[in-house]
Amino acid sequence: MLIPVFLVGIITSLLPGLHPNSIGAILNPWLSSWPDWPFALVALLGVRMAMQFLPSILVGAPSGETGLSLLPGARMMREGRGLEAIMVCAWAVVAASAAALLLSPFLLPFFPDLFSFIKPWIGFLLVIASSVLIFSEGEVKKAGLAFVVFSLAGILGILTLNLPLLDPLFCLFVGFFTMPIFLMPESVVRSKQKRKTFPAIALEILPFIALGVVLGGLADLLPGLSTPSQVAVFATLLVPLSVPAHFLALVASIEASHTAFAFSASAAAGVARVGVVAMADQMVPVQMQTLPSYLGVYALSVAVGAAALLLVGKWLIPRWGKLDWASMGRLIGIYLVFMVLLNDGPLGLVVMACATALGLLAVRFGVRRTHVMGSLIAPAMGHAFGLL
Amino acid sequence: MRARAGKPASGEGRKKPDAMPAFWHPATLTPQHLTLLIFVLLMAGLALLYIFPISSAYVSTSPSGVWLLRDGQWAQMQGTVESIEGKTGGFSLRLCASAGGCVSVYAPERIGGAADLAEVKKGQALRVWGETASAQGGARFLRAHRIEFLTQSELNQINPIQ
Repeated sequence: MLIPVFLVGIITSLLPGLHPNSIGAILNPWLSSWPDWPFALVALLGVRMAMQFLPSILVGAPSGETGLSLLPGARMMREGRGLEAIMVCAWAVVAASAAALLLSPFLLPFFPDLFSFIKPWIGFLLVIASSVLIFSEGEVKKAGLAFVVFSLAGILGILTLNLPLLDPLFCLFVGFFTMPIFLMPESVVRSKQKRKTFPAIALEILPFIALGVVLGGLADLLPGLSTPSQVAVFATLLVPLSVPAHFLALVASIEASHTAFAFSASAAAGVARVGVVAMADQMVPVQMQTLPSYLGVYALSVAVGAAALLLVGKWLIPRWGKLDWASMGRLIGIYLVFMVLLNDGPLGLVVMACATALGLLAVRFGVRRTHVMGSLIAPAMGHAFGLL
Repeated sequence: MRARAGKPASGEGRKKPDAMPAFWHPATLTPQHLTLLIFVLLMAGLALLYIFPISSAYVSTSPSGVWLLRDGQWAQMQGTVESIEGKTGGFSLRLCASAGGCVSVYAPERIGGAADLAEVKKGQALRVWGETASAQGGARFLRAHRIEFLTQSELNQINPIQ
């Protein structure tokens, strides 16, 4: 029964914006009487967990719970290191899922203590991290312009995360990163790839994967620093964006372990922080009796997704530069606008337009577009200081 | 073997006589290592599903069979609705098998499955998944996880037309 589900998962993962939460919500009325539907949903989630990184690497389209993989992923693609980015993502997802599945029974009891230790410092750490990010521009004038971009993005982030949107991060990140690519043809990702086979990856990514596993677990349990995107932003304190492979490994492992830990957190504490897990829990409760089956389906589907990522990536990435980008770019742009409209309605389009303007403003000012991360850092600061 | 003069000292381009096999290259994570890890994860998933099959969580039983299960055990059964009444935060149903034997089922309002509890009527055939529990007086009941209406063909399979 899982093979057709895997195929659907692989195909839908290539379409940014089609999250398993949305697929579940669309198909639930027809398939909820299928006894294995909750497990099929988990299989879709697992396949997508690995495959979602392909669109973000290829076209800079946001995906997943953080949407942050598009920063280092698209950057590596531009540098002709697309296959390396695929390898890093596959390693991070597979290793982090395996580690999280193995460790969750042992680590979960310690997470609350760990959080209570760092919680009082999170707000201050984010202020320091933001200052470092802004002043890393070098010149005072540029730092001032970066501060303007950061602050405007922060205001937009706070407003957007409080709007009734299904997928607020998707419309924000399409606007910040993807639309400016299509509006500025000179920045199109059309670099010649350096390799046609997968390279070996340096062992130094392993500590970042390990850190991602821990942070992914924290994302399941911490009420103040709740979403993986906020955890990933918090992680920028520890991992500078300047080494894209490290940051990509970190973000991918946070996403993978966050989902893997979500099953154990749901079974142990009744807290399902991943939409699909909550949906499955409503049909066949995620409890100790069903936990091994859910984890089995998740492990199997992550493995299938990672294998598909390698196969599709190996075929597609060397050919990507040869495509007619002008037509492709227009089609992808129209598709993303349609998905924003489908997910979040006209309000989503307004958010996307504001985010696009900010993305273009950063380019116009000549500062790095990473300053739009203020859209996530500012709400995280607000939570940490109890202001939001 | 010594490197010949003029060759780079870094080792690039040199052949080592006792070089390690391509698979074992401790300083890097090779695609072969990744393939192996994917295979291990795949096997782990299959092993978990072999030992704990998806359907194994629920014991298939009849309404009267629920009385033989221990508290907390998960069960799946089907039967016809004898009565239904609204309770705080849910519904209480009495479900009976065609061969006799009934059991109470408590269904929370936001229950999973296709059955809309507000539309359930007496005599309707349902399939119920849930957890056995005992009421204060010791009466056994099933706390439903999900409820579905049975289709006509499923009904015919249970009670074949004579």
